[in-house]
Amino acid sequence: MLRSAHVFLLLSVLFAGSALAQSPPPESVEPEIPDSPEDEGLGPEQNAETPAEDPTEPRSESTAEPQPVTPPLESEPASLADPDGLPAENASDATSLAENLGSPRQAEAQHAVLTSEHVAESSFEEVTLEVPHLQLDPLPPVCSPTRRALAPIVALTVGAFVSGAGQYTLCDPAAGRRLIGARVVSLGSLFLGGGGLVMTGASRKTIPIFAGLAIFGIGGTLFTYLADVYGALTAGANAGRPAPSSTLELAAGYRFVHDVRLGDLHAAHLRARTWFGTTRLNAEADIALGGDNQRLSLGIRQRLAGNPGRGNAFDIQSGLTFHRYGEHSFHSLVLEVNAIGRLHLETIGRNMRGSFVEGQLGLGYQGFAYPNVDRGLSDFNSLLLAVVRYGVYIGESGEVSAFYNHRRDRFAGGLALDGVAAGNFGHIGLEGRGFFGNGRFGLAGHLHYGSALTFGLNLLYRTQPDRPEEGATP
Amino acid sequence: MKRLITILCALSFTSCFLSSEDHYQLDFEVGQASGAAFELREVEGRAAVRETETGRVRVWGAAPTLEFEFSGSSAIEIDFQNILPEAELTRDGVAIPLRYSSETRAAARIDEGTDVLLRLAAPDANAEESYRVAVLSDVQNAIDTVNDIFVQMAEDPTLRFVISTGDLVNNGTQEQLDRFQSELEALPIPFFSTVGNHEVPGPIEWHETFGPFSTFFEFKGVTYSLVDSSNATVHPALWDERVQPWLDANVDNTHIFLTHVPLFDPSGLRSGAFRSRNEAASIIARLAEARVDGIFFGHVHSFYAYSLGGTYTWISGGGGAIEERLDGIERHYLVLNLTPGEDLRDVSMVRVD
Repeated sequence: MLRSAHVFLLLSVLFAGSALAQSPPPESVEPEIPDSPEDEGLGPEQNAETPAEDPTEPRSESTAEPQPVTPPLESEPASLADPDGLPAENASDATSLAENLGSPRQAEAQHAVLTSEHVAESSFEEVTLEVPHLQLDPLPPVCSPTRRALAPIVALTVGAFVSGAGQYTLCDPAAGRRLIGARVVSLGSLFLGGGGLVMTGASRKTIPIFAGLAIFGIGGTLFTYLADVYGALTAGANAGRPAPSSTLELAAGYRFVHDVRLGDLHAAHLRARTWFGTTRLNAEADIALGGDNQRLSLGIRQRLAGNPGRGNAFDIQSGLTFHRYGEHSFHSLVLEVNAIGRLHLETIGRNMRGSFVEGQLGLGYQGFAYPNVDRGLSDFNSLLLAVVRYGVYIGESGEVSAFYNHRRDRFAGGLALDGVAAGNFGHIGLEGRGFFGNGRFGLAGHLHYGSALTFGLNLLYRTQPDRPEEGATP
Repeated sequence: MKRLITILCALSFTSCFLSSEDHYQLDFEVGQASGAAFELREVEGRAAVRETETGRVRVWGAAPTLEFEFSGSSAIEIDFQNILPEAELTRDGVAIPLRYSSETRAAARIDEGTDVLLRLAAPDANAEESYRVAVLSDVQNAIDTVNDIFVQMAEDPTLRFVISTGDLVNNGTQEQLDRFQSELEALPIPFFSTVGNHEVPGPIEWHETFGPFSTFFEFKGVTYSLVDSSNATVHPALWDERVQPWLDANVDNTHIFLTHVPLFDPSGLRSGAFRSRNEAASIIARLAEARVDGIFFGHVHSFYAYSLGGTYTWISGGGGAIEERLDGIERHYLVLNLTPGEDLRDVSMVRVD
């Protein structure tokens, strides 16, 4: 047992060192200090002194610095590269490798010598290990190549009904249990919400509760499925991490709206975001090129909890949006308040590292004006705002995500569905962003699909990253 | 070939945003039938016309006044259904006898002729005077009890006809639509309806049974627009080619606009409404500019009275479909007291239960 701990810690040092050799740390990123092992995606039973009898449990990871492995452990061992630069392996593989030491095949392997002079606990001794480094078995010892190959298939098929099936197949029953738990909660939410809608006939007096439950039930069901598939496919190999944020970020680009009812729109998009402490201010505009259509939005977002640099955050956001459809003789004004939470799924399972889920729930109030009939602001109407998003971090500062947005007051409107579903759903979309080169310039794009299709591409500029990214939509 | 593929891709891409396009196009084909020796066409497509056997045609009226073009080398028998009780039939301005078998059903023999104009209308169809109509929508799966409503309506002799925003049946199957038609036999006045989202799964069946999805007509100086929004949108071609010209032509008339899905749901959090609020706002602006006098929706199974763009608006989905709870409103229908040239203000809710 103690030997396993030694091996694990030493390999963590090795992996971190390799990762740093390949991927320099981001500039001026604030150190991230987890509050507990759980914050690192580890259960209480999975800290550095965890017995290794159950190799399927998520394990603690290597450090981001090739320094003594003292808590906190950085959660991002970007990659494991062997001395010859062969393809990297993930930390789980490395752990399993450590547990394979002493196996008969070890004697046939080439050897590398690892030495650690600094270990977390004084009781640890200096250890020299002989590691087979070219014939690394990428699989955990109890997870056969067959199971690993089957995991994505199981996740795609069985996982649709039994969430976490892929993680079970991939020898991570703890993550599987968590996904099952999330699925059960989601289905419970869905049935409670759907049942409540039917029982009350979608009463105006109870609609926020039951509609919210139904939306997040559907979102949770989808997210548990996607997370299982993602974890089974990547097995934790994605080294992507939440990006740091910057004091100032600017965006300028183009937006195209294909709307067969209100006409196609080509617009310039401008946006500025700035952070003051834990407060973010946002201003953006879409201005039609050649038409009479302008959308202006102001927002303020307050970080309340979580360490956004690790992908977990909870924010309160409020905003005011004015939209003028001059060619269609109306204007609208929306005031809204949202609660937004994001969870790095590494917290649920090691294999899901580099992916996240985000939920948003809020209320809005919208008024309209029709200048051609000379009536002031009228037709006040509330908005139920709900977003469920699943995404993947890419590299040090990028991410892509897919989402469902329940609102129908934006360019994309709501999905074109027939029958009983007509008019009841918002839009879906894909969004992505990333920085390149020196990290100052980047690109952000989106594709939203509802009653209209919107496409946007923006050039991003940011000041030097100096605080965690807020995890906002691109 | 490459160009063809590009065009096909573009068309399929566009169709993703026009899910109602197929059944909108059907409205250009409705209201006509031809046999071996005749052609019969309602000039505005305001009827379902079908040859049931050789020389016999069934017409289901979708408006109080119908006009047909007929050409035939031999006589045909027309079975008119869903017509005003006292309607009269003329052939090129000359009355021909109608044989009534019930208040809303009558048959007539049409002798051979070429380019004959048949007109079926109430004697007072053009008299501009006050009258009353009922509005009933959203029966859906309560069809077993809809007879209660028809019986109650039948007790009011002042009602001239019933108009509806749709969702008469649950799934739009032929069997359900036929069942609804048979239930209408208890109603002594005609029933005119646009289509609801519950009928969309079977648009062909609706066409065969009730006729057009969207109907525009005038009766006693009041104009009506029954517009298809069964997909929580109005097809842009439907709007541009039919709705907007009708609005423009009737700015000075009392105008009633009916469509199934609310442009805005008074409960915005529920938003049982158009799938795009921007599209809804653009329609509200155009209805206000056309000085429409009253807007009626169904879809929400309760009763609301509010305004949109300054236009009086009502939601009535009281036909018996799953009711909105906690508001004390159950099955009901509306009665409109209409006076040509005047704003619509007299709308009352009649409870059934």
